[in-house]
Amino acid sequence: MKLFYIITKYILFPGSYLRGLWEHIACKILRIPVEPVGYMRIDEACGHAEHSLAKTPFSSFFLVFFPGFMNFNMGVPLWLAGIMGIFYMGTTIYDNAVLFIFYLVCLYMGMSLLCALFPLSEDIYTFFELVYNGESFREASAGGKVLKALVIILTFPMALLTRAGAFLEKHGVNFILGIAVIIVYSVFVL
Amino acid sequence: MSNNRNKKNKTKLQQNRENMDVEKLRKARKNASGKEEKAKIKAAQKEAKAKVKEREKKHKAQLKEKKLALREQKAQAKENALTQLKLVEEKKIEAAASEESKAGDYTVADTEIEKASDESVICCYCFENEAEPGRDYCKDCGNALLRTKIPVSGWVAALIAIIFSFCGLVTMGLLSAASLQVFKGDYFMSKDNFTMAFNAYDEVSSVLADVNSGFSENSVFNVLLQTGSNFGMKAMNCAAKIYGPLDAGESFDANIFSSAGAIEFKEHSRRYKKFKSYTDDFESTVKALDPVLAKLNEKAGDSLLSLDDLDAAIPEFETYIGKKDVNEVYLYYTICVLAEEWCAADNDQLYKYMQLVDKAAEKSDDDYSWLYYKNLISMLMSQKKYDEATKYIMDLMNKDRSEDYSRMQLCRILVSRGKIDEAQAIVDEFLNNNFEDDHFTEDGYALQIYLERVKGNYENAIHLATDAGNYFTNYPEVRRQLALVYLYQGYYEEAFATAFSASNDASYLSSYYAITDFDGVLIDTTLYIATHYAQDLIDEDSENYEDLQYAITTFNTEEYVPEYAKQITEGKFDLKKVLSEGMCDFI
Repeated sequence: MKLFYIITKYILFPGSYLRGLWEHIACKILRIPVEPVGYMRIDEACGHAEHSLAKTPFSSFFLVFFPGFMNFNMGVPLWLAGIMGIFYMGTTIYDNAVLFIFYLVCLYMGMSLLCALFPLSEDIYTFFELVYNGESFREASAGGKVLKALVIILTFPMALLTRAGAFLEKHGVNFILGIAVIIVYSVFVL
Repeated sequence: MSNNRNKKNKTKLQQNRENMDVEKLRKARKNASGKEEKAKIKAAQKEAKAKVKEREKKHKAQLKEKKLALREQKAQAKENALTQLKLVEEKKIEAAASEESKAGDYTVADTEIEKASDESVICCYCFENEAEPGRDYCKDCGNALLRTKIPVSGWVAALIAIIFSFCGLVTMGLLSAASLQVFKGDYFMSKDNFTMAFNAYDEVSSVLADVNSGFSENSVFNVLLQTGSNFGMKAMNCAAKIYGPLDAGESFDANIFSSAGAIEFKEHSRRYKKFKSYTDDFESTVKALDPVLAKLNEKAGDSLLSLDDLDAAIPEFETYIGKKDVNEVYLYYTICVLAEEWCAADNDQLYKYMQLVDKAAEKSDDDYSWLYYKNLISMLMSQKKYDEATKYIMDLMNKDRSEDYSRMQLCRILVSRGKIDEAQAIVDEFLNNNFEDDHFTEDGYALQIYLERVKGNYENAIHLATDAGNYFTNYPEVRRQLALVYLYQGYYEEAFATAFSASNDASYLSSYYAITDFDGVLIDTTLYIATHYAQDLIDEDSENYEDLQYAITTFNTEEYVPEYAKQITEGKFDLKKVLSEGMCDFI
């Protein structure tokens, strides 16, 4: 599984590399030490920056969601541009080779960014530990910090989704899903 | 400890020395003059780099060993701590009565645990110093790692990604409206609602033109705002579902695949070749039958061929069945066309040839309903074989939710049997599946106006026809139905004007768009009857006078006038009765 994960990360290296970069930037902002071992290492942390775990709920939240947020915001327009150009406008290489290649590149980059949305399992587990342990919640409620307690409740679905996503990404499932979506479009839309 | 420190310093010194050597050599090579000198320095550089690599390899191996040793240490310390805890628990239970020993043991256990955890916290980066409390790295490493630089390639990658995503955003924005329209078409196709799908696909070019109007003619965005060959293929397949692949190919191929890229696409696309194979099969069948056709042509000369001669030629036609390039269904269909065009056979006579086509189609695995079903239904209706016609009508209705011809025929059958509510249910289902924004499709209006007329709601019928006029320019069947309303009410001049417009609409659609999706015989019949009743009412001052003269001249000079129309105008059938009983139409 690890080998498959590393292979998918290298196939979709733009998104993986950028994911590591955003994590590094987030660590810089939060003053979390980062080891200078690069982002595309050949181990289970490929596509991520090697950093120490976050110590506070906010820093954990930022570290977990900021890189995915950046990749998502950049990945969606690229993915949609590629999908629209190739599958809906029906552009082929015979119509306009440059345009077709542009759409292909958009699709590839979009897919690589969207397949690198989720953090490492350690980071999301740390987030759950720091934010969703009973202590934080009780503290927030007892201290009259209703807003904080509400935020904790409202972010729970997203955190759960991220945790599930991290698990799937760890086993390269999102890559398979991405390929499956393209095959479905090719069969049913084209 | 001092030995270790010495060793570390030595290693650092060695490392620095080697790095300095590499740097020195690099500068020396830059300043070197001769080729030989440069080559020497290059070799020395290589050696120095190899040394550095070897050292790094050794260092990595040492680090790995240390990591393993540390892991073992941690595991051991954990085990020790757990064992201590267990002991403490046991002691707690044993010394439950004594408070002094409990406190002492806890303190012992706590310090033991602390000691154990203290022993296990070593810096995760250098594996030499102790990590700061609550952190993973020692002070030096922590400070150094806070300054870890983001590589230049990272910034470049981020910049490229941002530029690309901006381009993607702009592209997405420009194409979204047109893509939504295509998606609409795809949705209707998936629901077997082919006319609605075709209308949606047809709108795509105007949506793109609307977006394009915001840019100059030479703008780079013009390149993006175009559909490609795969979209053209989609539209062709949709047209084939409505009109059949032969008519779709004839009507739309040249328009859709007109660019150089599209022509090249046609040569390479398997899907296009599969689509074209229908036309190719038909043409190759007709070509293979050339000898027989030539013989029959010779026999006929300038006059019509007799049906007996055609019947006598059928066995000769059938000798071609099974040969390469001959499709059996197309063979019998060709015979049918010959009977209609060369022999001027009527519906009753054509029926037996159509049965041959039907038999051949049933044997085939492919679906040929698009080729002959409508003609067959028309023949069965004229022979009043309504039950048999219903079988083919239901088949067409199930294949295409936007198919109006079959639904109109079924409504006529139901109306003739007095089942107006059932007919209305069929029309309601059609109207629910086929609508455009806030109004019906043209076929929907035609069906509903027919039923309003049947129910005697003439004001409603006129209102619907007027409403249709707000949305459509050419709508022959709607105008014809309106003409029937005027004929029934005795407004013959209005009936003539409306019937004449219906005829013009039909001519326009067939001439400019090759659309023949209307009943030409019914349109001619309606116009003939309206002309007959209006001719004495329209004088020279009327705006319809010229049209009336044109219609009269046309019907006088053309050989073909619908027989039923003649019978009505000669008084054999009462006009009002025909329009209010049975099918309430000129059928």
